[in-house]
Amino acid sequence: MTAAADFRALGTGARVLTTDPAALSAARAAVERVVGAVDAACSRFRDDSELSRLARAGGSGPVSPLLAELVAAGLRGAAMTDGAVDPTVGRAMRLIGYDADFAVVAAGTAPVRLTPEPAPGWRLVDLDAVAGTLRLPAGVEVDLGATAKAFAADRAARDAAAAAGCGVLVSLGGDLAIAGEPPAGGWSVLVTDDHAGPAGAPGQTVFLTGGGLATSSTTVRRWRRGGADLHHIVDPATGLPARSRWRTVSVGAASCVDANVAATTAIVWGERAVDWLVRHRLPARLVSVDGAVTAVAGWPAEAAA
Amino acid sequence: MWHGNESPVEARDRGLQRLRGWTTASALLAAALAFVFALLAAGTFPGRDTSAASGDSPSSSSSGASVQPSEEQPSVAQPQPPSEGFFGSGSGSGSGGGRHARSGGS
Repeated sequence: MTAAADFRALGTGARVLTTDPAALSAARAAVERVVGAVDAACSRFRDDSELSRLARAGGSGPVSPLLAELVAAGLRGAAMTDGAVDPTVGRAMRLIGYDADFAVVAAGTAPVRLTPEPAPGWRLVDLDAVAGTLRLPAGVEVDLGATAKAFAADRAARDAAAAAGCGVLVSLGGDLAIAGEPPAGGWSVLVTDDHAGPAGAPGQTVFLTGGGLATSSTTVRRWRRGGADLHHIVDPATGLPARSRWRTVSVGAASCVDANVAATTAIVWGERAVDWLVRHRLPARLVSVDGAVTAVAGWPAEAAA
Repeated sequence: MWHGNESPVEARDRGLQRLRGWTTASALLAAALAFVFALLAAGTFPGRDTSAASGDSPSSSSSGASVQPSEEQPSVAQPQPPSEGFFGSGSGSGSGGGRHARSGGS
């Protein structure tokens, strides 16, 4: 017997599943605590977030242990992808118009400047987690969007399983983390383009027993400005929305952060990501812009239609 | 020491022989000690998988490598694959109810 709770968090849909229905409220409360703390630490869209206050103070100063962990996760993602996922894309995101919650961005009409401008680079971020300080050079704006939600999913699953004392799956906008003992056969997960798509949306159902699963897609969070179609996955090399042969990539990993970093990297890198995923034994499902599916590194084959 | 019934040449040869013995013993002792220290060091200091050692580490990171999602992020700058048995043996399909979730873009 399992139970589920759905609510909004981090500007997206959240779902918590537990193997013990009686423990659902405890699990949900733990998830909401983690998500609230992460949002307060690193939201770009909240004036009162710690990251926003740090930016107003010139980008340097003491940081909380949580923000230090979030920045460290972003830097680690950059290090393991040679900068394909880079937390210094904050300015690029702002320049392409993604400077508020997506509902506001989608409704906006102001034209944007689409000039290639590479991200400053993650190596400029000077984090001293021991001293609890962060230093950003002038002009460097940090966006932890590529890793913060997945980090929250990992942390929330861990805390929820501890609070509930049972198996837990946490989904934050389709970024999944699993902790505790799963139900027999695993949690059922529909892998698809849009985590909030309609019932019956095309995709593949897989069963997961642990770790993390994340999907990055250029089919969601799209908007138009000045005749240009834009989306939220920015290539740090150009500062512009990535032009990829993949529209959607789903990856399984030991953690949701690693899964999300790998999925986003695959969108940015395109074809050459396949070898990288195989080399790192990361099972992945890659959907090309024309809908063809490629499964690698042990991703299950799809049942015949 | 030059014994009374021993010529200087014989004494020299005997001294050289003793010296050679000491040299051989010292070399064997040094090799044995190096082997012992190598074993001790291998057991004391954790190694690093070279396939996971390339790439730059961030200036700071969270710690505690683990394959469990509930643990802290590993510090090595390589993505960690899921553990064996990541994909379960369940069957069926569907996206509703208390056992189902969705992974998609958001």
